[in-house]
Amino acid sequence: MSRLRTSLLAVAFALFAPVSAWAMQSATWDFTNAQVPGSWDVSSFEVLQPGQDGLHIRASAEGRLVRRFDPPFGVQVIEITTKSAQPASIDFVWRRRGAPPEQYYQFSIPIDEGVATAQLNMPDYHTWDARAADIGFVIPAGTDLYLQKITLKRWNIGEQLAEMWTSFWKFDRVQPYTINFLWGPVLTRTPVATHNLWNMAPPPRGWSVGRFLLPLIAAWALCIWAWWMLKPQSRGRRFFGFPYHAGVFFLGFAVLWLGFDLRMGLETISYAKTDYDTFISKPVGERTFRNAYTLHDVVEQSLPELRTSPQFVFLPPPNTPFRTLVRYLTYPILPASETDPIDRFDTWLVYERPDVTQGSGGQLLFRNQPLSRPGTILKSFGSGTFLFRIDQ
Amino acid sequence: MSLLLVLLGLVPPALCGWLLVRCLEGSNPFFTRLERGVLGIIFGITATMFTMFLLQVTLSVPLDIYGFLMAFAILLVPLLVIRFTVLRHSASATPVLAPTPILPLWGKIVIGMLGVWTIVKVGAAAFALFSTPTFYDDTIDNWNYRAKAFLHTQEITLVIPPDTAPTGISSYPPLVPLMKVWIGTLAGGWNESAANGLHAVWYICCLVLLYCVLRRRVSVPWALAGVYILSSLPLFLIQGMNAYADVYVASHIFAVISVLFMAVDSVNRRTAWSLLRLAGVGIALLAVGKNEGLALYAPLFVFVTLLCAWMLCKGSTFKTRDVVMTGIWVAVMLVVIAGPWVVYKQLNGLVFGNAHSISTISVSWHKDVPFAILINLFLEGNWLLLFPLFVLLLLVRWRAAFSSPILIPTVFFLLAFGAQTFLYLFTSLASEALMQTGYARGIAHLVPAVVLATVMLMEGWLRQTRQP
Repeated sequence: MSRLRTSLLAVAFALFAPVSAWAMQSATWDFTNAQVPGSWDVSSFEVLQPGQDGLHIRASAEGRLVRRFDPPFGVQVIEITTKSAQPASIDFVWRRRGAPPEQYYQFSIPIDEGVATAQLNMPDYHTWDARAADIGFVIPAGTDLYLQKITLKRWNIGEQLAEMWTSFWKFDRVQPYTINFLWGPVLTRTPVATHNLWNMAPPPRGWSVGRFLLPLIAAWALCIWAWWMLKPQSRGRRFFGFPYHAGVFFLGFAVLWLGFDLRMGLETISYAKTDYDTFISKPVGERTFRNAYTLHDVVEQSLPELRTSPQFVFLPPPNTPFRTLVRYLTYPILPASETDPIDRFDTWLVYERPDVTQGSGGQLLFRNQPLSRPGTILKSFGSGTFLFRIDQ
Repeated sequence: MSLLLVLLGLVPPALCGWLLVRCLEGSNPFFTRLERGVLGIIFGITATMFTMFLLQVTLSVPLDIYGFLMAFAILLVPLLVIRFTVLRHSASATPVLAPTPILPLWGKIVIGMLGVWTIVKVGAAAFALFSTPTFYDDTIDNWNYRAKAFLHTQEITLVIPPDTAPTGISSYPPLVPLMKVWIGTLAGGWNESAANGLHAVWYICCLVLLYCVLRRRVSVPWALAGVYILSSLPLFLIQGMNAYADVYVASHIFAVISVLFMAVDSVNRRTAWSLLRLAGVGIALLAVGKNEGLALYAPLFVFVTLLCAWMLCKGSTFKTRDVVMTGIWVAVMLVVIAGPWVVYKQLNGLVFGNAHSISTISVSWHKDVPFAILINLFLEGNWLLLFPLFVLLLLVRWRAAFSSPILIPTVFFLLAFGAQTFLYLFTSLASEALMQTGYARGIAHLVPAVVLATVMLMEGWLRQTRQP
């Protein structure tokens, strides 16, 4: 009895311990108001000046800022707040505990214009050490920005479990790979990871739910088997017509199946809902369709003019699959191949090419170089997307 | 409108298929109307489109309304003659279905809720299929693109602009595109929605056929459980409700599995023989439906069919001579039906793989493939918990899994899975597994058989423990 009471007390203490013990932990290094938290090892920069807006860094050559890390907790997310007059890119670097002095890992962080915060979910990088020895930045030549804040964050177990529940219900979108496989539920442990879950290039960063389901099923089966072995008197009983133990096992299995089916079924329905919201319910001219964006609308509205000749020039963004799609949509009218001399064709469909413009003489220009003979824009569908015909 | 077009377009092939199945049943009809209808749709589409293919490539019959009507007539007329002369006096089918217990109220509620959920999921996917443009590569590059070209030129052309010579996609059988051409012909021009919506037919056929096959052995709740399990597989639903041909292949494979499953412990020799006749025709039609039908599944089915015949011999339904005749029948069907397709490929220099030549596939070990397979079957969202369940049942109920009739889907699955795994482990097809591109398609071909075996094993466990 006293052992039971001790166990109950321990559980009660764990449940009702001060709320602060369960809160997210964070620590901030604030560089505004001319502060420089900690001691930094820096290489020479053209400008390295603390100020009201943060630590002003201007690099005429590649430079490095690194400091000893020594965090108060194992860090999961690092937020870096900067102010920059133009977009830039810097590298975040770290050295693992016990690693040689010059062995750093790094990845590139895009810096947005203005005041922006980049959120780095560090468990995405398998070389990340939550209590790394050193962290810092490599600043490329030509960078000019203000480093305003570095915030370190960690979520407690309860919050991570809650985040895993949230990420379980976050659905992927229809992608070109959806016909080949479905990632299924992917569990993440931080809000940053959940936010990024289906927004970054695959594979998704997180844990497949299968990692938990399969051991759970195995453990469940093991418990049932142990019960069957230890309680032979229960073997003759029935559970909805099944042998008692098998029935209990299959009931648990069915619950897991139904939960998984609910999750994947809702994802399938979300595909249809997204298509309805973005394409089916919209009028022509306002539709977008998955990763083809407005291409279907543009082609549909351009077909009458495209059909005046058997081939046309199609200028899509480079490294996109749009050429094959347009070939399919316009068949038997075909886009000219990339090796055909384009001055043979009168009609041009330019799609998402802000680098292709019409010059004052009426010809199309690519980076200010003439691309075509003078002509007329027949239809404009937005910046960089238009239908063009050579003047006869 | 698109749905009506698809249904209208189905009528002639379904009618031909119905009569084909009925004639092969002979004077001892075996199937229920629903079974015959579903098998008729599956086999009829392939048979009629293959006939159209032969007319086009041998006699240059154009792919217009008259060409298609000629193809339908070539099958329909002799089948009608056989049905209403030779088989005029045949008995009616008296299928024996498994008894169904009276369900408690909670059981009916559960079935109702799962039924509504299934209809919502499948309905949402079907709605998107009919209402959205083509999206996936193989449809844009192959199935629909070739159909558009065939419809435009009214002939089966191996050179599709902008190409100037036959490419890999020309090696695929043209039967699925031809069915789209038929629907386009009815519509007076290309109809994207109907051409895509056609694919839902094969998916629905798989569900209905699974119900029918199970219903002969198990009660209504168990048969519905099988339909629920198959319809809840997310990737099978995605494949079935998009314009890819893998559920088309799955429907053919499952049609042959179903027929063999029904035949294997038949006690009536004539019934067993009529089912094996149908299986032989089904195997030959599968061989001309898609490349892996000929290269991979037909040889396996020859083995499984002979196994079925041998088991009938063991059960004294067949004599040894009948087993030999079964082998001869299957071989003749393959020669008669698949033979012309093989000759056509040879004459036109088309490869026997899917856009790859089989003869140039090199053999070497790819160590990361087993892990990729495990991920696909157990860790992704493709098949829910089907494979853990199936593996568990195979281990716990192995004797039942390898006894008649569950032996048929079990053995076929293990053979096909083994053959696929060999190809992925030891050939350049490994990239299809490592990149998770083609691997799941092969599994999609087999899942209806897996679900059949799974439900039978679970239900058999209950039935066994209820017996004194």
